[in-house]
Amino acid sequence: MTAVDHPHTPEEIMEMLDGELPFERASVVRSHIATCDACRRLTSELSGVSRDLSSWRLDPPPAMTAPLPPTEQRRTFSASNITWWSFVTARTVAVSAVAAVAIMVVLSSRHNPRPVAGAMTTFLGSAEKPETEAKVTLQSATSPMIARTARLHLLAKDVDASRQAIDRIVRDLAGFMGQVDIERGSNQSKLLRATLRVPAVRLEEALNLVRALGEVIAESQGADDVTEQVLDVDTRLANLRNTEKRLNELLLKRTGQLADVLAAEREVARVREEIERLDAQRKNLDRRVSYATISLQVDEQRKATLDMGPGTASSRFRNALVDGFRSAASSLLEALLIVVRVAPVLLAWTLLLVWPARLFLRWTKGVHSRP
Amino acid sequence: MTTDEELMLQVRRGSREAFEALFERYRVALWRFFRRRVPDPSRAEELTQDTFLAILQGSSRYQGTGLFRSYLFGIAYNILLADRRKASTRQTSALEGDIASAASDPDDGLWVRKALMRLDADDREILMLREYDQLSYQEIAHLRSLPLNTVKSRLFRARLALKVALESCSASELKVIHDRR
Repeated sequence: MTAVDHPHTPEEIMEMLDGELPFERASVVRSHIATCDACRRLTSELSGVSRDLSSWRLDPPPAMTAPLPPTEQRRTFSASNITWWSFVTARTVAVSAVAAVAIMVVLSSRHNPRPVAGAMTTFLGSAEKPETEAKVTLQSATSPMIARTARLHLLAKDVDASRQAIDRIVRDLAGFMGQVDIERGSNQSKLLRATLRVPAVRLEEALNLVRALGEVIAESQGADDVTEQVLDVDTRLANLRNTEKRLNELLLKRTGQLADVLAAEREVARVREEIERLDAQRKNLDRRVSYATISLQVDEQRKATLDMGPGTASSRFRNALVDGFRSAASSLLEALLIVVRVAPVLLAWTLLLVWPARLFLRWTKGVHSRP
Repeated sequence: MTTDEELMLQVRRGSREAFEALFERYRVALWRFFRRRVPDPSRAEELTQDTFLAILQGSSRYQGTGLFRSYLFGIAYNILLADRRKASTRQTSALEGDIASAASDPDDGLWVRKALMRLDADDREILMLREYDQLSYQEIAHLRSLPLNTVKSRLFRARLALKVALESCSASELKVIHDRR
């Protein structure tokens, strides 16, 4: 991916998905992705990683109570505390607290991982404000929001036919394809990897149809409870919208110094970005709940074929003939080149050695002819 | 609805109700933060409590200049590092072991946890802060004391590396899970 082909860096796609890009920039990136296969593929890959990560689910959170302040701070804590402390003397409270703590430690030590803190909370919580006990234990009033996932690994006779069948299944169930990759393995058989998104209520129906496409090698299903995440996002969104509203009201008055106004404007921009990021996250959670995800892999059964190599026999015969002529011509040319290359050297040495040789022959002839 | 920052300012003035409201808002997110990083569920609960206790003890120093969420996770992260240091001196646990056992069902996201273990430790931490704890890039940069651009490039690198690791893990894990059933 180059800057010439794409008006953004690969990291900016990730930032857009994470809601970290400013709105205008995100719009530019989004419109480019709609027209670019490579960027769409990267988008799909990054989304796929986030989706896969969500399959790591945790056990439900335990019921916890807020820790109590240390002794030196407790005295200054809340108007209700001051009233409570004012009714009794410090000594009476201390003795009562120690006695109550001792009792509660014994009673709660079996279940509470932090017996002292838990016992103190229970004791003082009931003395100060009994109704807060019920409030502190989080009980979501909303219906659970479950994101369902499934993974299927199949062995099929024909991957191309399976691909068409999968398209049909997804279309019939009013779902959509997240991503499809088909590649050829080393043994010439094909491999299909696809991410299918189908309405969560029709997941079982979709799985039954997909299973029928081949032999099931492996399968798993999961359900991720995202209720807490949704509540968390909603709370943070409400907070941020409130902050934004107050900042905007502050800006309308514009009674501060220029630096303060600029700082407030920067803060508004930051809060807006955060709201957009959380909005995107909220929509993503909604999508995860309303559409189940099926990660599918289809391997093709290996088909052995007689491989005669590329090209027809006649073309291969003609090619061999041409190669033969080319080799013959090439060898003749090589011989000629050797002669041309060696001849001047031989001529030079002949000229250089012929006179001394003739003189030597004459001299030896003269010596032998003397009486 | 009162903002986190306003509640924290009330906590600084000594309001127990404000502290309980903050505890309610963040106790699950914080518990999840620790649970994904320590092997023992009760230890995760203790560290969550320690974090809120630290918030309470340091409330007088809270200035309200940044987001409370960043402040909270900053403290949680420091507490986690301190706990890891203690664990390494005791030699009872390592991060790999923590991730591997951080699930109620051993099969839950096993292939994801295995793939995460293949990543560089720093990259993995940044990825987890973003994906699981939903921290912004700026918050992660602040938490890890890194430049913002470094966070972006590491996060991108981590996601691509994880994709490769997940692909190599998935087939074998699926087979194992299927055989087990």
